[in-house]
Amino acid sequence: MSFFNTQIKFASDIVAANISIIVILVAAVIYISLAKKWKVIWSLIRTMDHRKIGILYIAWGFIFFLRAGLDAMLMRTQLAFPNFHFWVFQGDKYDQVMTTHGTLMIFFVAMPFLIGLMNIAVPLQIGARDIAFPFFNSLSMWLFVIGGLLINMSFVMGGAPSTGWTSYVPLAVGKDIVGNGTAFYDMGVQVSGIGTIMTSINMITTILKHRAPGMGFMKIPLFTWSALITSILILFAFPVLSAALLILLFDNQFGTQIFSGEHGNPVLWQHLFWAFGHPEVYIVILPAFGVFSQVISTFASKRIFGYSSMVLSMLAIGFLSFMVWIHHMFTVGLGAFANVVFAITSMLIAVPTGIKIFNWLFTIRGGSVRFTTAMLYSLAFIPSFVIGGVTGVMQAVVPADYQYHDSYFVVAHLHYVMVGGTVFGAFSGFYYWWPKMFGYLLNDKIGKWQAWTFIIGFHMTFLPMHLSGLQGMPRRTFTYLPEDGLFEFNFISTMGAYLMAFSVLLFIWNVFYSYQKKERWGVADPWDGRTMDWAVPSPSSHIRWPYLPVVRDLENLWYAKEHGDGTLPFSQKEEKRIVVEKPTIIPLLLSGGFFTISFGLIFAVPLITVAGFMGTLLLMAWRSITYERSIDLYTSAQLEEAIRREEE
Amino acid sequence: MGVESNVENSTETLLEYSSPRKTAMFLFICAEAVIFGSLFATYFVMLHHLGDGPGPKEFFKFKEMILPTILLLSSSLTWYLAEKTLHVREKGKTLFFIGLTALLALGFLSLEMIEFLKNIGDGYTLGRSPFISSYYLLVGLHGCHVLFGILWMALLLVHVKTKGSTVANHGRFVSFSIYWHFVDSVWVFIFLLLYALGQFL
Repeated sequence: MSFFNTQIKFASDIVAANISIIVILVAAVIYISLAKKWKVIWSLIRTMDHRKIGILYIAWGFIFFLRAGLDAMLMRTQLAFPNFHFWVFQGDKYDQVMTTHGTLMIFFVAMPFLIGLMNIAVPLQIGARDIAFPFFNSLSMWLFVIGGLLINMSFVMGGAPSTGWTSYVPLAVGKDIVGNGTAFYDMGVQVSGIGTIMTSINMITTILKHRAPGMGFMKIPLFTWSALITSILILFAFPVLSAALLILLFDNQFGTQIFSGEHGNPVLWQHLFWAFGHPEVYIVILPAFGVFSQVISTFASKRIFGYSSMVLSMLAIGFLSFMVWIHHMFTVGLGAFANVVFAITSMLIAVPTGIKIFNWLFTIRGGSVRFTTAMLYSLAFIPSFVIGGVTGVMQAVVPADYQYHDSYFVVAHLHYVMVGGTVFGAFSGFYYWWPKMFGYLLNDKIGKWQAWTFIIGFHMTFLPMHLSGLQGMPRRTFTYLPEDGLFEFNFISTMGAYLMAFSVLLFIWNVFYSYQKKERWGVADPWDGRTMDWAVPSPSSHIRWPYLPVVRDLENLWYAKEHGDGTLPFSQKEEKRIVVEKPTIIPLLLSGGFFTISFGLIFAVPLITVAGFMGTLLLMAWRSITYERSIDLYTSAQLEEAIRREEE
Repeated sequence: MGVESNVENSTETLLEYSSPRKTAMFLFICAEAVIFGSLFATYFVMLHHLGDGPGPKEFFKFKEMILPTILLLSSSLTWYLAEKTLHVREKGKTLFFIGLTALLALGFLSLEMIEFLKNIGDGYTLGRSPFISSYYLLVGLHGCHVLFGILWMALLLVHVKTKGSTVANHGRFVSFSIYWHFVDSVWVFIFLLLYALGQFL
């Protein structure tokens, strides 16, 4: 079938994908209609509440997590046996699945999970009424969704990107690629990147400008600190990617030859990509560090050990993250001097990270530890991440890296830090903040089963990859020969991957089970919390704090518990102009405009692109003109009255 | 302009309202600066990837770019006047200076389009050589920013015309000022590093 000059072949896998998409959509529509939830959906897509936007981030991230996880299952099945032919997933199809897995997991799973948690927890922790610009918060979220949908759609619309999540040129330009894969990657990541930059601006402004009275910089909880530093990294790293993707778009669609062709420079892409790509690694790990600091301190019932060194080491990691990118390019041949400098800076990062690891351990030491599921994930994180960190230092040794480069050793390393760090952190954060998000707790017994199966499955999957990598198995290949001696390692990996998939299903089951039971519904402070996020009702209400809470200590709630009855003191200041945004559909429509622009660029239909631009600009103007009508203004007294009315 | 708007315009309210916007705009400018920085870097990497195209010395017509530079830089001044007249609530003058700024920007953009069309007429198309591509990307992106600024000014014209000197309009002016002065300063770098420096490379 021909679709906007693009051939779509209905092979068995595409048909299966199409059928499953239709079945899922129809099932969703029927369920929502039967449960009479259309009103809920309508209010959800227009929401300006930072908690609901955070939930949407995480929900969409979870959908993409399932898709990318399915890709992982397909890959592991294909790799289970030597010379195996599973369905169609060989050659280019394997590359497509592998690229989608990587791109989705990093940009559309890890990032939204963590940004979602930031959205939920940061305003509560710093005593802000909402994120600084709720409208842009919502817009960022929908842009991320659009980007993710573009990447997901590509599989059934003429071929997914197949050049790896790094999309190296010259592979990603010119006639070598099949279909529009790279264009989908380009626009999908670009659109969600715009949203991510907006989120980072929003977060930094919130944390700098909307802290409760009394909260100096050294009284900011560690999760908020991590959100601040992450946002700064996003602010300076993502625009580099935007520029690189812009050039890639021009190379692919408008005939420029900057990255390739006779006279271009392919190494420039690598520089630009990794100048973004390495900070990106810390963008997805620092918020996880913040989650662990919060969780470990809460469940060890102790103040975090070495708070200021924790902050400083995060700042150091953030700073160093911008000067290590060459370590992804040791084998390019930039010369011994460049390689040595970047080897040293790369190894340096182990120092602040080590400080953090020891501080977590010392926080646990002497505390009365409660082994909840959130804590279990945090404890599992420490050794897993240390393994990942050590293999990272091994690869920072330049001569050794020539051996590890592009082997499964690298795959093992990156999954140890991404899964062992980021995904453990995300799950830990979900279990920890679930009551703040939804008002009920996740069942701890199922949670522990889920955590243990996930942790064991994780090590089963990725530990053997170190060994297969050292045996010389190259990454991004779809099979191996029986005489390579790789079968055992790969088979164990595949079994571990299935165990992890089972664990994810267990998590979904836990969500439904706990929702039915609604154990400990509405408990504001189930964990005996220490920071201000546990001082508001569960789930947190959108309009709150007519008078802002006063911050006296880093662990403000704990301070109130120790020096009083556990209620926070509030400021007496009567505020004259409290802005609360009314719900609006414009962010969703605007993201639709971006979708139209992307669609036109991907399929090279200028008319659609122009229409998209016009629509987007008109919507922006419309928003600007109706701004005064789209906000509610309160004074403190009026807000108090409004909250009282809502409670009734 | 009754009593109520006077209360709204108290210094404290203005500061409270504008301060997060200012922060956010400066952060946005940081992001923009990184994008332009990456494209400048790309330009300098591509400086010797000429293919069969011209080098910077024959390609850039320095003298033809002086007039547009003067137009764009003076638009920063007229915008400053627009902002100041809004503060003292001289609505007519504010509208005049916004219009003048937009006209200057439009003049700049037209001259740049003429330059682009001339280049294309000379056979220096987008894909001629990586060097020329990187030039078009950098200058073209800046041109898009100017165009966006003109559209933004049209919108501000409507806002000032209908609402006058309100708190929200002050906020809008704060945001646009930062944007516009940034767009101008990027042009200074383009003018110096591409057109002026190009004469000596």
